[in-house]
Amino acid sequence: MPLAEVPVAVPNPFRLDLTGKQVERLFQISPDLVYIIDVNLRKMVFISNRVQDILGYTYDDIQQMGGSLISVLIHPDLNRFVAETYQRFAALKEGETAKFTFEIRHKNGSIRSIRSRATVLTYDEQGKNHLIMNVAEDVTDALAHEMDLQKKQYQINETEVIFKCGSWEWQKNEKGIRWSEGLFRLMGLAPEAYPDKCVTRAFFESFIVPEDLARVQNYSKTVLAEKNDTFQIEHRIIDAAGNLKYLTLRARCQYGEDGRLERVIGVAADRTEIETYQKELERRLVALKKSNQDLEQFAYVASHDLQEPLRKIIAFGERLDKKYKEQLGTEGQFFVERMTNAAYRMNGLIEDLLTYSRVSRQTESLAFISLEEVVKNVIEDLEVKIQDKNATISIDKLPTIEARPVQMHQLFLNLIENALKFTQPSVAPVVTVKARKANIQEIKGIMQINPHETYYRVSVSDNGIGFEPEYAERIFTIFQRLHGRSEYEGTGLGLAICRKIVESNHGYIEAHGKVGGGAEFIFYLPLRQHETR
Amino acid sequence: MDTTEIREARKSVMILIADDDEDDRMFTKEAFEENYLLNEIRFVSDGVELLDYLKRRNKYINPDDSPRPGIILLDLNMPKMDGREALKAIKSDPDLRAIPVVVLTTSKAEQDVLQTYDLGVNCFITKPVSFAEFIEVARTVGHYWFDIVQLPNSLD
Repeated sequence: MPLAEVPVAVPNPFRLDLTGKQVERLFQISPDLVYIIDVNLRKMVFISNRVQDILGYTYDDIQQMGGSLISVLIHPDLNRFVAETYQRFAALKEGETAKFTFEIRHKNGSIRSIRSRATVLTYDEQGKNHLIMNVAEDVTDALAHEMDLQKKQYQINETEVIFKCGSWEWQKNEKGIRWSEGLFRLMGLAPEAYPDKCVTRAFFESFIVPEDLARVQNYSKTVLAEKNDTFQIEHRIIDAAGNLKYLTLRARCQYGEDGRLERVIGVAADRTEIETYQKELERRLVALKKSNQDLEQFAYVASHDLQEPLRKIIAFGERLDKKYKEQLGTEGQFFVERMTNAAYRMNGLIEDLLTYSRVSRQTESLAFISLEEVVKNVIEDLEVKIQDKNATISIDKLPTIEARPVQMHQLFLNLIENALKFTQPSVAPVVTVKARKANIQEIKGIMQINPHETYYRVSVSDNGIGFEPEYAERIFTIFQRLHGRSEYEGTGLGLAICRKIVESNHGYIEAHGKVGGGAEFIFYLPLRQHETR
Repeated sequence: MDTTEIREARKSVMILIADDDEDDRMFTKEAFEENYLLNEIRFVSDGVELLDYLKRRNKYINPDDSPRPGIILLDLNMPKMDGREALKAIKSDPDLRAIPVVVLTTSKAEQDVLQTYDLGVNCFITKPVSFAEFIEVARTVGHYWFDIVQLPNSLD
């Protein structure tokens, strides 16, 4: 490739006259790609053989392409780009460097990004720019890296905006703490106002509310004294705009071999929304508890006070019947009997109401009890009824769980009594009590249940009259009855009490049934109770 | 002891009933009478009156009007001073705590049972709803406290 003899300007005092061959050699050993363009001839007159390392083309390849690489240049408007580049070359001033970045296709087909710096090497007779020397490098990897960094930075910024958080970093020998843009925003400050993004510790502390400051400072001291590598504390700040914010501060501390703190990198997150939400939730919970307590107290007192006059109606009725039987006559005795029966029924209602309200008062303490024992005791209690009805009660192996013993007795008593009550006239009743561990598929959709705990699934099923499936929920409602009193005795509270017992033991109960096809009551109870739940 | 002596011994135990409800007083009296328990029965209508009686204060200042009872039947829910407070006062008074106290109430609540036993009640009885059963309870109470149990001698 021809190369004109060019005078090389080397600043004094190291002036050096090099021959064309020497200059070419110099260009060839340069780690950068060197190429020279003749502006007048509008062609490349030299390219160093680094071109083969960078772009894969040999001198022969380039010869075949007409001594030019324009055919492998990638540009949406190639002609305009080439024309503009020549204009730029022609306009280059003495000592000026023009920078270009362009893409070019490697011999292997991949696209490389080339950054090129152009300077005037020689002038023609008219004093116009003649030869332009270009020093180029492959910046493909550097560009990709830079792009990657930009993307990451963008991602971090977006994350900080979305999560209302910011990060900071401190390093040994650095005068301040480096804040991320998000942290400035968190403090109600414009990141642009702090070009070096560095602030002092005192600056940060000036935002902490005075009541929390000592606690935060003491905590930091303890962490450093104990050489803990994690740091977490919650405190309040008042931001630059005067808003009270709740922050969670987390950091990781790195210590050097000498045990001295070397680097701390941390995150501050704004949990004001969560805090507000939580406070509101707590406030409502307190109000709800109070209202429930009032209601329970009311039910308890009302039941008690209602019982008194009722007892008297019954007592006077009985006295009347005993002392004045003769005078009353048959009809009179019948009236008194009806009156006393009505009073007894009301007494039953009140008793059940009392039981119902007592369940939620949680006066009973927890114990590990065998449900099998409980059911056996219930069966003993119901011995007479079971024999009268010629019923069969079959029980599986039942687990031992933590629960309130009297309540568990009441639960099984109500369910089994229920099964013995709603029987088909011509069929011998069969009641089956089964239990097994509940699987996650069964319990995951139940709101009342914590899927991370172990639950037992207990079922009490019968071959009785069943009920219409649409009533499956309603039968648990207080005073809800599906049948007339003359058909089946009852106060309409039995199942409501069951639900209350199951729920107060942190479980869940449901009913399945169809008319004439029996009923099945399924309840889930946890193996262990956690009083704090 | 012959039968007459036993009768006399039983009769000598005076029953003091603290109940604000007139009907209930009547029922209790009738229930004891049904069982041919011929003990003297006296009534007070609330905790304040009960303590006045026992400590011989105000209208009970004259000892003739306030002989020491052999047993006290106590209702829990009464005006002014309820049964729980009265029980506490009796059981913390060295002169009075020897007198057996039987709580006779409509309450079945576990908390009432626990609390009154805690305060030192001698027994807790829930009034049955049926009067026939109540007569039965009165019979048992009479039998237990007047026939079986050795009561402390009255120091008056």
